[in-house]
Amino acid sequence: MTDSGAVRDDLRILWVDDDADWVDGFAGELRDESHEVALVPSIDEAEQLLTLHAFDVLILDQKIGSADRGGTALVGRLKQGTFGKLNQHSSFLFFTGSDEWVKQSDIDVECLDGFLGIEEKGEVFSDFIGLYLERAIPNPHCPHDDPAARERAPVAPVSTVRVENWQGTVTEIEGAKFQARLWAVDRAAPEYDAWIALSRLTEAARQDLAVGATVLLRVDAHDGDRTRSVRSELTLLPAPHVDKAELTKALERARRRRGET
Amino acid sequence: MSDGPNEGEIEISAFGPGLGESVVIHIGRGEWTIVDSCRNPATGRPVAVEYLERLKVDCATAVCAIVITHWDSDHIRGIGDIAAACPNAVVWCTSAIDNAEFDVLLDTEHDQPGSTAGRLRELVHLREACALRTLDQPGIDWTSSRKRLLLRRGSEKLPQRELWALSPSAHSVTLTKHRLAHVFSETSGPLADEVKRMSRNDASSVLMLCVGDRGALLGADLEHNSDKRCGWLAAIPVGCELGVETDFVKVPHHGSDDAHCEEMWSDLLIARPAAVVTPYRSGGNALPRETDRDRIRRLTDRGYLTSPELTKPDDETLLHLVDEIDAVRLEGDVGHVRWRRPMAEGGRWTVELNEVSCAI
Repeated sequence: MTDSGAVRDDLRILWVDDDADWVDGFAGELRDESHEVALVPSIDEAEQLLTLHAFDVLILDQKIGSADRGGTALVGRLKQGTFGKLNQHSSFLFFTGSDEWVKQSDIDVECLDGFLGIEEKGEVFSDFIGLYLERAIPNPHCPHDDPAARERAPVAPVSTVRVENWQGTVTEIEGAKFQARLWAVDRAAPEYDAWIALSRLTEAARQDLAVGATVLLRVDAHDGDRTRSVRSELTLLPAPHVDKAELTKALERARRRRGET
Repeated sequence: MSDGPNEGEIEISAFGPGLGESVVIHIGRGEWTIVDSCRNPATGRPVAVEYLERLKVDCATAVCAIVITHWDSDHIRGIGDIAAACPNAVVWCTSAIDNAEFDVLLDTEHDQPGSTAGRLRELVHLREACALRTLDQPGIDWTSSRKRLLLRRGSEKLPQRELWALSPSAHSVTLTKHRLAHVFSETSGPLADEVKRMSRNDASSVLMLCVGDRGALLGADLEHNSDKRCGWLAAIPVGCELGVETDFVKVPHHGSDDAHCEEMWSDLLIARPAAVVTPYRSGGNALPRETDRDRIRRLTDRGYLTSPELTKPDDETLLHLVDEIDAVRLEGDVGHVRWRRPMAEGGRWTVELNEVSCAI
């Protein structure tokens, strides 16, 4: 193993935690500091990435999915070489609900190569993260000094982000809600009738709300083994304006076409 | 259910995923007719075309007629795709929309998509599909009461087959034209609103398939009221004139009580006819209701539903996870009720169900 000894601000970090809402903010802070962070909500996905990509640091939750396949078991297999040599010597730390969970595990992670520490989840986390990362030994397999290589082999996107795009037509407006018939834009799927609260629309969009208006709804979900975070974005496009005078002229033309005048 | 009927066998297959219906009819000698259209939610394709392909039927040559009973969205989904797949089929539409006003509505939906709240989108697609046909291929024609849509002369082996329209009555057509005219008047509201409010069921084309001296009634969504000039009271005498013994019914308007007419059951149908109902869902409404099912069960013990209540958990999409959105799934797996009988005298109906459909 090569020990550069240098503190880096461009570490490649694999963060395994199924509590997406909790992790997202901290991951963002790390990215702002130039670190590259891959977030995965399950052990399966972590294993997949560990086989394909090199990481400097692993940040692990202990309770992910079933107990026998938690963070400590993952580290145990990593250090045994189950996922090859790419990350066998990567540094790791635990951020989890209770340090007791890690200590009660069959695997004594504190004795393993690359151990940085165990921290309980809490608001103090961001204060400590820098200290832990300073102690991380960069993984020589990571393309730190080769931006082109980094671009060529970016960390795979988190595969459990699911996106659905729906389109619909407003069919009813009633009190503080409206109904829309929704159909999936990018796949074959059953149609839905959805009652949507007016509060989902901006004040400006409410002015355009009318039967025939188009609804665009994008839903993103980040699935973990035990949790799921969902974000949605609703856009309203006004119904096409049909000018009555134009309509009457069109009617006259249609009648002439049919020989009715 | 991928085995085709014999040449001398009539088949009436009803499909429904929970919202929408399509009926596929084998009229003998490998010829088929499609009445209305719904899509398979899993593939997005018209179920009628998928079914005929499963039977290895060449839709381009074997489908001789497509009938659109009315222009409600649950009856026309995918109808343009059917017209494109079956270029040698005459496309029959209710004559209530054979007018300049409806032409303009289609033009408007074509030029400004969404201007009719999407209700006419499928018909725009249909019109385009028919426009692409060659001059020697049939186009769109119009159904009205007492119009014969199809005739196949009898032979030594097969009886005569005819398809008749029992509706819309002249009065219904006039009423629809008046409603259409209102869309263009000064007092009317936004176009999408007006189109949404227009009733379509009373302009439905009820069909009678006559095979020799026996008939099969396809009730479309025709509703019942006390006005003898329209609805079932206008259609029944036309059906009686045909003088056939009718032993099959596609129950009108998804079994709803607003389409129930005692005289339809007593004057047009034999006792205990073979029957099929296609459900309907929209928002919080579902047809048939339990009271409707009870009523139909009292009239026949040979009635089947293409699809029962949706039982699958609503977790196939993310919609149910979104705050302040209450989404109701309208479609499930496609149910299929298949009735067949030999056309020869004395032939009896037999029914087959797929894993979705069930007894009423």
